[in-house]
Amino acid sequence: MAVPLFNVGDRVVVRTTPRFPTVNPRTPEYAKGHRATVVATYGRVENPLDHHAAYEPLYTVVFEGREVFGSRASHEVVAEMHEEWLDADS
Amino acid sequence: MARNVPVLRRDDHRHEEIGAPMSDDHEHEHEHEHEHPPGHMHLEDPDANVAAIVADLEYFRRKRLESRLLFMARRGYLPLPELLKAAQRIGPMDNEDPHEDLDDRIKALQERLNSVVNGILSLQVPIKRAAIAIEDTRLERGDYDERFRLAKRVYPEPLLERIAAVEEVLGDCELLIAAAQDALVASGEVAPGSFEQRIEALKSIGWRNGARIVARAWVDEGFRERLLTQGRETVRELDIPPGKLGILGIAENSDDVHNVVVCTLCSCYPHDLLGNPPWWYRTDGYKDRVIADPRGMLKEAFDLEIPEGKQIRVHDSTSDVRWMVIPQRPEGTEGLSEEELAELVTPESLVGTALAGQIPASDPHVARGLDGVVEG
Repeated sequence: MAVPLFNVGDRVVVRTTPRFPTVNPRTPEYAKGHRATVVATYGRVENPLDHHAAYEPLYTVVFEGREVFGSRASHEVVAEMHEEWLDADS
Repeated sequence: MARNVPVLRRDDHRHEEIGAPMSDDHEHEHEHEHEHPPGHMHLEDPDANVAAIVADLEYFRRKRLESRLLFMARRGYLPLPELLKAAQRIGPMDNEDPHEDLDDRIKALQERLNSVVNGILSLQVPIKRAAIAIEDTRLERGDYDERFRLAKRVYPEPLLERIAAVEEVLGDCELLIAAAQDALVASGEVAPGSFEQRIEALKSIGWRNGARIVARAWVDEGFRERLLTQGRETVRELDIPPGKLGILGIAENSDDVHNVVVCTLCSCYPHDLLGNPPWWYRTDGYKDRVIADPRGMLKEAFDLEIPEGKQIRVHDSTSDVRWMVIPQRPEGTEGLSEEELAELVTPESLVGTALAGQIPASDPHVARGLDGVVEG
């Protein structure tokens, strides 16, 4: 079992393409290239009613609205992202 | 434009929100405006009611019914000739003549749609030869590749022709469902009685479960804590089947934070616990605007003004974490029983587009703006 790469509090950047070919080819378009903070980790989630094989480790990340949608946005976006879509923000 | 606040009847939320026609494929449709005098006792806006029915019908027909049948045909679990033979065994379906009265005719559409949706969902019972996951139909219905998208049906104007077309498509769906059920039982893939059992079970799933969960969380601090920390399993305390479709995310509103739920990638929702979300939840108009400008969207489309000082947090659901909102308990409700408190919770308040105790308003004129259609 892979050890999750990220921990709560880590800063991450959403990739525009997954780090490797993945059975879960989805991540929201608006998030790509933007920075977020990890607020929860789940590891690999078994969800057999939804998908056959467990997807990569899952995180809840928070985006500042203004970082994604421009300076007039004041809200937060909370989204779940799988590990192959995330890089460490260095 | 001044409009009456639409009436939300609590016995069946799904088809009775008043709203503009919105599609999930950016195919915009134009509606005629119908103004009614104050005190009008009929459906407030027949066009908008039928538009909501069309949106639901097309979603369930394309994304849940036909895509699943195609998947089962592709894999050989339900070959198309078996479906045809089953249809021959069943013979013509006898449909009643439509009501003369327009309101009765539209209400009959809503009831028929409810039954078609349950029939479609019943086809998700396990089959002997394979475990079919939602992911399989997601591929099949073109979520990842537009070439797999099933074409949308054209529903003509004016309204009466539109209604007749909806009746025809409902009849087609009823036949497909009956044939699929018959064929799967005939081939031994599904045990006799399984579909009927599933339909009975589906009747206990719905947004009222959410209302009961919220009311208990309001009156029982221990329950609230367990719900926030342990999630889905906690609802067993209310004798509500918790479901098992991923993790249940709980977003609790407070004096400082207002939460709203969306699924921008498809329409993920804890539907094995709370039933189907309101029809507009699946529209691009809702998804695109709530994620980028929730404050503006809530105000314009739902008449919900969140004070400037209050943070708005938009939860973008995925298949693995599906969110529900715990709205704030309205002021002045100290004397109410748990059952009475549950009556204050609406499907909209569980998504965050309304507060508890507030009749939600989805003005057709502004709601149309969600899909970017400009009047004129």
